[in-house]
Amino acid sequence: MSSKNNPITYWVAVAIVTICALYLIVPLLTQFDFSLRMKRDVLSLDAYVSVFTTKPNAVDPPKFYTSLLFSAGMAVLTIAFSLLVIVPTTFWVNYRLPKFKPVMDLFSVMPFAIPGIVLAFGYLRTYTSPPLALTNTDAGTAFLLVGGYTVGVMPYVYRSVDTGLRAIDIRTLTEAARSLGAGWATVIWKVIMPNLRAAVISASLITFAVAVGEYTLANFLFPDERAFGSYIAAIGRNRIFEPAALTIISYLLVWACVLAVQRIGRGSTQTQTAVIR
Amino acid sequence: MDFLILNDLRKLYGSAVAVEQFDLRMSRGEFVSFLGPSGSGKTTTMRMVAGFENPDRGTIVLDGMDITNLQPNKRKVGMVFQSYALFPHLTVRDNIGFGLMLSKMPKAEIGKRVDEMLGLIQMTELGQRFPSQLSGGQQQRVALARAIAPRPQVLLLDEPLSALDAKIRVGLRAEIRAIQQALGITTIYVTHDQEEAMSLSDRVVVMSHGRVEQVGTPYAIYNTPATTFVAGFVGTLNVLQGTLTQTGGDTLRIGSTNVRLATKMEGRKADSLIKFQLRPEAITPHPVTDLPGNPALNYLNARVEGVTFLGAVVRMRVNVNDSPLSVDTFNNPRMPPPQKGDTVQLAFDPGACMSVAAV
Ligand SMILES: Nc1ncnc2c1ncn2[C@@H]1O[C@H](COP(=O)(O)OP(=O)(O)OP(=O)(O)O)[C@@H](O)[C@H]1O
Ligand SMILES: [Mg+2]
Repeated sequence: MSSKNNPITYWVAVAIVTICALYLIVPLLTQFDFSLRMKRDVLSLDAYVSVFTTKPNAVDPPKFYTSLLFSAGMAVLTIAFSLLVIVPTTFWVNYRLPKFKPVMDLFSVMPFAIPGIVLAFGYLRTYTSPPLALTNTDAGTAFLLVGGYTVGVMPYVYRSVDTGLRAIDIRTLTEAARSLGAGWATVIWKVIMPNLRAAVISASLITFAVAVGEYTLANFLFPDERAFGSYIAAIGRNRIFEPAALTIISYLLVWACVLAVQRIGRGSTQTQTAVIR
Repeated sequence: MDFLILNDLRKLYGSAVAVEQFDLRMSRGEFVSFLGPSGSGKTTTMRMVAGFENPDRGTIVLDGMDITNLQPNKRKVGMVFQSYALFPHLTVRDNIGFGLMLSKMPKAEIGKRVDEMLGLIQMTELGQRFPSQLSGGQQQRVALARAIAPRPQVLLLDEPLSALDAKIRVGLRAEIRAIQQALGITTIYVTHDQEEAMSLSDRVVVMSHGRVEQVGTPYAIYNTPATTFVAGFVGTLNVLQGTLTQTGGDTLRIGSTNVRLATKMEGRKADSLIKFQLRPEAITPHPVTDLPGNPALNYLNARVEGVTFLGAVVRMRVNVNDSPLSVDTFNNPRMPPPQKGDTVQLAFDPGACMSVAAV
């Protein structure tokens, strides 16, 4: 009300919003413009075509797809693994060990304090030699990567799961379920999880974005540049126009993700149907 | 044969005693209320029966089996919470069917049982709703249906009605009792509302500071309270005092009037101060113009300080020899109640004098 009546405040507000918007949009627009200028003097989508079609050799599909698929797969595994670990842990701390809450809170932000490069070296040192030689196989290395990502995204996942748990009355819901014959697994997956949907979706989204774009750990563990992050870095080193195109594509991918997640989130509330007829 | 036995239960939180020396034997199908003020250990005791708290001492035996250390999900105990605790993501039907689903009952049979339960709580039309689309009373009925659907051996209700309006409370109370009797479920009901406990229960356990003060039928609890605490907590109690006229006698002097008690004060000296208690409805007011008619009754003069007309009952505040008393009588269309400032004479039976705490 007052800001509308006071023209100065109003215009200051508009100016701030505009500056912020420009700060975000201008680089994106210049990138976009640049990405269209691969062919001299005309606008073309050649950079995009190049991204989508450039093959590493005669037999393999374009690196864009294989690396994206690889990293998306790692991201999905990370989401599954981190939910599997963090949801029951956070639940248990809230339900049974509230005394450990401060410890947990502190512990959960530790990944912020440890740079990725330190983590990567630590992993390599620990897990490359017996008895824990995980890096001997691709599956072992992938497991290490997923483990690393899980640690990396723990602050986000823990925070949102914890907030979600505090929004529901976990104590009585748990006890109601227990008295009806539910074991702990049933309590967590059939009672707690469904009521954490918003928290789980936002945690998954952040995890996905972080894991798909991550470079340091992926590059250390998979020096053959199999991950999307390594691919982007390599393109950035070797090409001129393709990195710009790739930036735009990444933006679109993220937006598509956000929209999809929102659709899923909204759709499932409306179409939630009874199991028992 | 006792169906549920709570034997010498004790629970400590740190060094604080929450429940101590709790003994109770319930028969199959019995409805027992735990009644007591806040913090008296009602919930703690019930949670030990449910398996959510481990007793530090004592045993719980259900249908001949020691369940003291059994996990809650293995106990076949149904629970209803003050906050309803329905699963927000499930419909009414799925909530009611939750326990049945966990017991691996075939789908068709679950459907049938859920229908039956919906009929029992008179909510057949609302099966597809989510808890957020129900009133508090409806949610609590669903919670009750969910708890009894798997046919538990014991049903536990912890202040199930205290989040509801007074009017709904009374209706739902009757409904709970009717369902409990129809299904013959052994039930423990926690409340701090004495009217609720008295009207619902076969027996009442009155608790205070983690201990059982008295176990008995509502009639026994009300009319022969075992301790001062019970007498004061259940119903309203007037306290009168007088001096004993002779050593070991049964007559007290209050002001200038003699009052006879039902029992002799053995071992009490003449002139010692004696307290006794009277229920408000044990006292009948008469106009002072009536002559003391019945030699079997005690009569005391009192000044009327206030009259509340409640319909069927007229409640008076009167003063006897500087002690305030509460007096309840039935409304009499042929005799209007006395006015404030009137003097009345109060008649009461010596047998109505409760001497739960001789001072
Ligand atoms: N988890 C706990 N930790 C520590 N003390 C507790 C705990 N639960 C209960 N107590 C204490 O034990 C005593 C009994 O509590 P309880 O909840 O059984 O009382 P209640 O009779 O159910 O009271 P109310 O009518 O308020 O529900 C109280 O003094 C309470 O403070
Ligand atoms: Mg309680």
